[in-house]
Amino acid sequence: MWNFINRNYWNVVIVTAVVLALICGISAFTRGELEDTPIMTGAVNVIATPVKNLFDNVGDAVGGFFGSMANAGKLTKENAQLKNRLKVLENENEHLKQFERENIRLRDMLGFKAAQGENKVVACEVVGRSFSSWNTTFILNKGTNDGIDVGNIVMNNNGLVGNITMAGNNWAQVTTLLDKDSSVSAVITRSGAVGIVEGDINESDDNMCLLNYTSKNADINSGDTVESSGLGMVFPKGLIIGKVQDIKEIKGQVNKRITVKLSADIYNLKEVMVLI
Amino acid sequence: MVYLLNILMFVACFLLDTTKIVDIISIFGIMPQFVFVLLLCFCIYYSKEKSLVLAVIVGLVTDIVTASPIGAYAVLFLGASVLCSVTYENIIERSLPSALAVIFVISSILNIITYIFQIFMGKDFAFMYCLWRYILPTGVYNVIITPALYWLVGKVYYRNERIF
Repeated sequence: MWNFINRNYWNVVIVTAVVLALICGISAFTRGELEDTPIMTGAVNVIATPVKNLFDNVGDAVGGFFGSMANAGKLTKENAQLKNRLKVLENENEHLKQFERENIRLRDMLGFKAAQGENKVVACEVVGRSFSSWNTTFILNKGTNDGIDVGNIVMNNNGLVGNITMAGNNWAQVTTLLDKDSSVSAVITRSGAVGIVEGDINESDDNMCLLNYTSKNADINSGDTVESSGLGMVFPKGLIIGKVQDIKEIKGQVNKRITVKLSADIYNLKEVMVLI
Repeated sequence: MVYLLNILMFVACFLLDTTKIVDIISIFGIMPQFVFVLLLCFCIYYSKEKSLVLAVIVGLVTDIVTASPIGAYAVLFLGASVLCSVTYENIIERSLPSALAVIFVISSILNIITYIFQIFMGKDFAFMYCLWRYILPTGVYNVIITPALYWLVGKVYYRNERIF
């Protein structure tokens, strides 16, 4: 085989390149029409996810070890302070548990149903990042076995993170709000002004997105809270997205350039919740 | 044994590229491309025919693992492999300094082509921003990791020569 390739090197290169380019073209153009995760990607990720899990744990351990070495003295002092603080918090926690039990009892009496009562929440760990700097996606350690499916909403305690765009048995890919392909219909909580939060490569490094398609006279100020409006039928209403960071007038354009700082720190996520 | 060592190196690089380990060494969001640099080191040492086949296989695996359009990385890696092999066969001698220069140039070209590919996929990136923010820094970072991978591939290559 090597002799054949050697004798026909440039022919082999050209034929292989053309075939691959054709496959790539077909694959790229059909991607939008596929609703399910490609079979090969699914199969590889089913095998790769446990290994990635292992490497992630090693990565955390290595990072933690070097971090500890660098701050050993400071950490000892901090540890003593934290132990004291822990005792105080344990007491407070006991009180809060009492309040929680009371709260549940009272809610039951009022027939109150919590806002997330309809949705089951699956807690997941982030085990992998996107391969390149061009996309902001990551891989979770749970998948369809735990009820996760394409389109599910991903968030953490601070706010909306993104949605599931691919899922296998034991893994799922999340496309974050920072991704250029991401868009969420949004509303300003204070004024009710609407727009669409979209990922932008120039802003994504600072954990920010753009709020586009707002009306010219929309009542929007810096610091306003932005939440999902539920209009796109993808993200439910009322999920916190972030806060308006900056508003700039652009010469010759009707719309202003409005940046939104996301509440969820996308680049430092370790655990997230998936609403299924 | 030699094949196994090569496969293990690629598996390790795939895991470095796609797991959180890369977060520890990423600087301002810039990540080195371990698999790509390893492939180029392989092209520097081994024949152009073996490099060609390897580039297609590694490219296809990358496409599958990263859920890219099938063939995208394969064709990019194929081009990079041909460029690297032909350069070393006809123009320059194998050495670490030349490897650093070639890997910087080829990885910059690859990332520029990736940029063009992203534009064709409908994304709207400013070229100069991407050049200074991603393309050139990634090239520099690739150069930084090159000596280690170059040394590793060399070790396995010379072991191979002793065996056969």
